[in-house]
Amino acid sequence: MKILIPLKQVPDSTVRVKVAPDGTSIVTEGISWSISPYDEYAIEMALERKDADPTTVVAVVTVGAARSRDALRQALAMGCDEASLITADTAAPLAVARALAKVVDETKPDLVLCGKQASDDDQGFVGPALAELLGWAHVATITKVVPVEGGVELWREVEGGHEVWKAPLPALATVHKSEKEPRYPSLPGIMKAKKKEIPEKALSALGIDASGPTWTILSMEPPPVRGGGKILKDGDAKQIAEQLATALRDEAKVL
Amino acid sequence: MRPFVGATERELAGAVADWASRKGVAERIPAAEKEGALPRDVIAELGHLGVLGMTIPETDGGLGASAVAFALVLEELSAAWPSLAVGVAVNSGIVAGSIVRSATDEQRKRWLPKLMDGTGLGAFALTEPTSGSDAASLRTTARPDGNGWRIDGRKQFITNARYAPFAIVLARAGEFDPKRTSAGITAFVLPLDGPGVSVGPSEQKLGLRASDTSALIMENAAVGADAVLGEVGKGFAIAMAGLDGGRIGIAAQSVGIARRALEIARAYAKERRQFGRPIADFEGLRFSIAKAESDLAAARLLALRAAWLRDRGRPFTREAAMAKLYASEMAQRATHAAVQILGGNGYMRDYAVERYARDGRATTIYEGTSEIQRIVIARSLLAA
Amino acid sequence: MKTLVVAERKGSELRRVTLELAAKARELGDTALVEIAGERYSPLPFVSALAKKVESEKPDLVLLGATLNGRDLGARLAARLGRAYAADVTGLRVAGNALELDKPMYAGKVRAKVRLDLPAVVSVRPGAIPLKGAAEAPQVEKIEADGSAEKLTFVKLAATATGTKRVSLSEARVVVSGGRGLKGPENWHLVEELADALGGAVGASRAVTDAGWRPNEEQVGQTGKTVTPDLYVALGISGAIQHLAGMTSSKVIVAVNKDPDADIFKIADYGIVADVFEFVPAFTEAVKKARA
Repeated sequence: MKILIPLKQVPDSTVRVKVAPDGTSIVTEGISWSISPYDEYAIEMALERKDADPTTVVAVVTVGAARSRDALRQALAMGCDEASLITADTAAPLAVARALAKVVDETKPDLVLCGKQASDDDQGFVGPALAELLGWAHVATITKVVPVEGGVELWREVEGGHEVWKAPLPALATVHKSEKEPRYPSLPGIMKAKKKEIPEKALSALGIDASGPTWTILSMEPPPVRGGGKILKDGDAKQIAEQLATALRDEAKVL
Repeated sequence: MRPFVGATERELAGAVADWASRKGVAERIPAAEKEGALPRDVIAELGHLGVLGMTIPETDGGLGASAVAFALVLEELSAAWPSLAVGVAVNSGIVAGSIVRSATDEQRKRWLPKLMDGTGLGAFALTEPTSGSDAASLRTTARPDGNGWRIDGRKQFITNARYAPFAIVLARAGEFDPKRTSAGITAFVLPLDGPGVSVGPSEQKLGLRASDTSALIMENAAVGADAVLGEVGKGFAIAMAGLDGGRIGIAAQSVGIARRALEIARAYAKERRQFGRPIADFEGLRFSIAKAESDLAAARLLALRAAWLRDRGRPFTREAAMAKLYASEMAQRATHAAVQILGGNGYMRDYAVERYARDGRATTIYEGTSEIQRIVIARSLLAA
Repeated sequence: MKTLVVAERKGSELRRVTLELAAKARELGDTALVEIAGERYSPLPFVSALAKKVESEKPDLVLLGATLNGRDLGARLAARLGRAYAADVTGLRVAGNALELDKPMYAGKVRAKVRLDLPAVVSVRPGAIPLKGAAEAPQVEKIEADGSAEKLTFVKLAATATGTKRVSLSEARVVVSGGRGLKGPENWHLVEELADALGGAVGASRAVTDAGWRPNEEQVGQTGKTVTPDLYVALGISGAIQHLAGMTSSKVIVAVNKDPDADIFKIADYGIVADVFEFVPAFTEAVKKARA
């Protein structure tokens, strides 16, 4: 089975995100970048398939800035077999999906796994959009994939349990979580990844127009500073507890 | 950009730092320190991660990474968990290094995989109850017996003894010669599950409590002729060569210990408020941090310089001794400064700095005390 | 301005978010609600039915709840129609012939205002639109999911065998978190009992998960989970920046700490300077009484 994972490079989750002086972007200088967390789960899910069946080929691709190469390298170090980069400094979400559809047409994976959303814009658009462009069905926010006769079973967490869907191949799913935490690149994996070539193509060279419906960011700001709370201090523990419970019920209306 | 450090080396160290910071390693520490043993599954993970095989050449199935890379990795492991770093330093530093340098092809094939598969950590048995700094006065004996040898003696303070598949044991073949104390000393590879070999009770230590330190007792322990590492009677040189490299490792550990203690102290100083402002605003404390961080940077450069020379096949004995001396002494000052910055909290188990201060205390002692380093440095500077 | 609201039900009741969307849509102009009827959500049958509806009605805006299914359906619908799309917004206004949206980004670390051209598809975070007074029951048109578009086969619903009946941390409306002030894992029953009384989930500070007192998955904060419940109760948590990053967007924050200088009080709506061991049992009782 060949599995393709489109991934996105985002600021590492440990980065303290700061709004840039222009007020419409974030400070990117000097920050560290990583594979978006849900994409990492998708990679882990694919590599778990590869652990079970070593003939599995796992490929990753990204549409993004030149620095995204590091994220692909990281995926190779985790154990992915192939990686390719489509460079575009800016591309509308639908253009990204179009580029990925082209990659799918060319490389013919049996299964495409996308992270359910990227941790920068938290949109969750590209996965379902890619399925739409390909004319495939998709299953969203899965936690497990099991190969079965004639396709794959895709497990999806819903309230009170898991829906299990069977999809014929080729199939696409967006990933909520893998069974295990994403693995760490091993040191030999890093050395091996260094020797692998990562072919690169510009979005325009694929004949894809980077424009499409998108938003314009008007402003960005950090979450508002809170304050002006009150300290409850009259009475003993029991009395304060009762005041607080009453305030939460009648004043804040959260009980 | 760091001097002496290439991109690949930085990347390898970064991967280990990432593993240590995110994989829930930290949450394993309190129980393991209490119990006095490294968790086997964490050792297994290090095997899987490829850390244990770092120093072993690619042709032997290892990573063949540089001494600089290994020093950086030890710094990261040490910052995360000093007890774990000690175990790795011994396994992949002295033990693997001695085998790589001195073993036959047969021996390499037999022993090196055991040092990198994560099933255990190798041990190096030189110190005895009556021979520490004066290592050549060791009393463990090896008698020829048929085609092999019989070993008798007691080794002390042996790191990893409890989970080692084998130990490199230094024993004397032949009579003790007071004029040439190192004569006859031979290095043996001794499997620890054989007859006549037993491991004593774990030592109760000031720090590095999760790193096992035990005695190794050999009573008529039989080994074959193929257990001799290098040549009979040339074991002392093997031990000394091992210690040279090991000193870079201790320097790197010291750097890691100091770094993390200071990181904790800086974060604390910025958050903790007294007299209406963060204590990081007080000059006394700022100066303490500025000095400690400067010393830390100097120590790291010394360690990397020694590793860098080693990677280029240049002599590095003096530089390794300087790095070990300076870095280990620096770690004492830095960890105690960190405890002081945290005040009462620094003395409590809840904050890790007290542990770093205790763990760091060993660095001026093992693999050659500060005094021995001074002897080594002076000898090389003042040689006729 | 013409808005089509995609209604969702839980059991036989409309979801609260549907009422919120309907209220917002009425504020914007013409409003219609549509519910897609099918045995269970599946993207192709749902998007196919909904796209047909949108093509015939030509609303300027399609609004969905940013629920598990709403987010998925919205994304695929936008792709099918080639419309602009924004997910999980927390506020929306009309500005000329475009929308101005409040869009949390970077896991809530940034609040962006974005302009989205019409026609558009937008999913809105549940609870983001305030419901003033009793919401009148809106009229909902039912359309059938387009079963002919399905390419998947439903196999089964596998019940989750989790040990706890407690709600999951990231979806909970109430979160009770414990910190180092609890002294040790053996005291966690205090946190759990309060969480149960409030019908909430249990969280922890990083110091606590680092110390191995609680599993990592309970960590709230920058390197843990970001939560935005209606009520967040911090017990014995000092309020390190890394913890605050994960919970400052909560609607109401209650902090209980012995140290009056603890940073957590700076962001708390209700602060109680007290020993958690003394206060929490009393508060748990008071909550039970208040909710009775």
